[in-house]
Amino acid sequence: MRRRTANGLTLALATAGLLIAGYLTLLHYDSSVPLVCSAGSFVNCETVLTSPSASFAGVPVAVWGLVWFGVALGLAALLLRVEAGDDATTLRTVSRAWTAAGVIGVLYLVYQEVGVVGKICAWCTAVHLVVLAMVIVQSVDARDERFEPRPQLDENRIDERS
Amino acid sequence: MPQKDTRSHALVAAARPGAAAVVWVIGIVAAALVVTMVAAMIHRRTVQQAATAAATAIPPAAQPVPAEIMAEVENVPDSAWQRAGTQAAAMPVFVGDSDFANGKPIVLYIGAGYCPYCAAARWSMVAALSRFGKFSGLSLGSSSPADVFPNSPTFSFYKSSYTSDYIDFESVEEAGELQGLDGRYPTLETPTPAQQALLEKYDAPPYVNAAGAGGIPFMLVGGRYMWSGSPFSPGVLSGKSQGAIAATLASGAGAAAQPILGNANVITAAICAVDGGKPANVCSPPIIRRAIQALPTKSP
Repeated sequence: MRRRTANGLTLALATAGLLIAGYLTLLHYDSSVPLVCSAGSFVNCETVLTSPSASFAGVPVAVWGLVWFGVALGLAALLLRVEAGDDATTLRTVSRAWTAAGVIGVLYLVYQEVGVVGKICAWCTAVHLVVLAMVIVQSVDARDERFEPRPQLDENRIDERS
Repeated sequence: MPQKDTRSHALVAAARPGAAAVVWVIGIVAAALVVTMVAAMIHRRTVQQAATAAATAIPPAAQPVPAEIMAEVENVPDSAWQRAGTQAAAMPVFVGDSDFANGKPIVLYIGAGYCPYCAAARWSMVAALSRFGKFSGLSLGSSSPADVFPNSPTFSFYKSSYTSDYIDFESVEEAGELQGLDGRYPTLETPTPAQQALLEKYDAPPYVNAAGAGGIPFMLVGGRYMWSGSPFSPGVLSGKSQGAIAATLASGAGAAAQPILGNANVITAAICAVDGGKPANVCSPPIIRRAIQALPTKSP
């Protein structure tokens, strides 16, 4: 995967996550915003979003998501501008660490939904899938960075060495 | 020669150690997800088994409302009623007909124990109806731990009675608070055909939007004023006991007291509007007279 493609995909995924987290934040603070979600026995956004598990450290989880995706989006945008050099290497490391932190957040939230609330929120699952997709994109990108295109061999030089 | 080069590059690519690293990363994340979900399901199952064991060990006998809590709900001072006002209260829908029994207007409530919105509504109803008569046999209740706004503290009308010189009160608690092992809430009471007909007639468009049709709580005052749904967010009751909430009613201050009493003021006004303004000491204060004037006079 080309580096620019990976950065673009990460940017798109972070934007999608930011939009969903924004919608969930609006839902939390504005009761007039309609909740478009199943209200079934297992998939039930309202139950999840109004449960005590919908807050972490007194702050709605949706707001945490908004912050996380906002930072991820900023890092992806910076990486698109700075594609090479030491700055890019540092940024990529920070971006991957941030995504790893996001995975830990996803695991915690999945535990809360399945283990504590006993119901799944479709919008939350969409956010989790976005984070997991970012992991895949960044993993493939990390693989490819170890295999930059090799320079053309100068057969004459080889001949000279041999 | 070029063909040989291409093949050798393909072989190198297939054998990239980085490809294995990607599989490892994705595999570790997937495994972590699976472990998390299994741990969560085990936790959930343990909690449910403990809840079932507790429910089996302790019969869910209704606990009567302690006298001091009842007294605080029944004897809200005028200053608290005034302070609560009606600004943030849910106004009823005017449905037009009159419904009297034995010369007295009927106040009909249909709800259920598990329902957190009914939990909120009951607070305002008990406070308002206590101005016109007296409850006996009310029990403490809380909404379902498995629903939204879990364990919202409230009262239950199930097996209670109400006497008043001015109104008749009919309550139907359709189901209990706790799910059985089959996931269903136990049926407690069933509306009479007449009550069911009122629910189907008024808890439907054009009086409520189609999405909320048939929802509970449903309250009808004198066949004229109808509420469908929660008068305020049950979230204000969250984490508090009935005693703690009742203790705030005397001041009318606090996140719970204000909406409870504000909505009770509107219910009071609706009752005064259909029972001829009796009793005068309840229906004549300025806050109630203003609320009566603010009641809707036309059907939607």
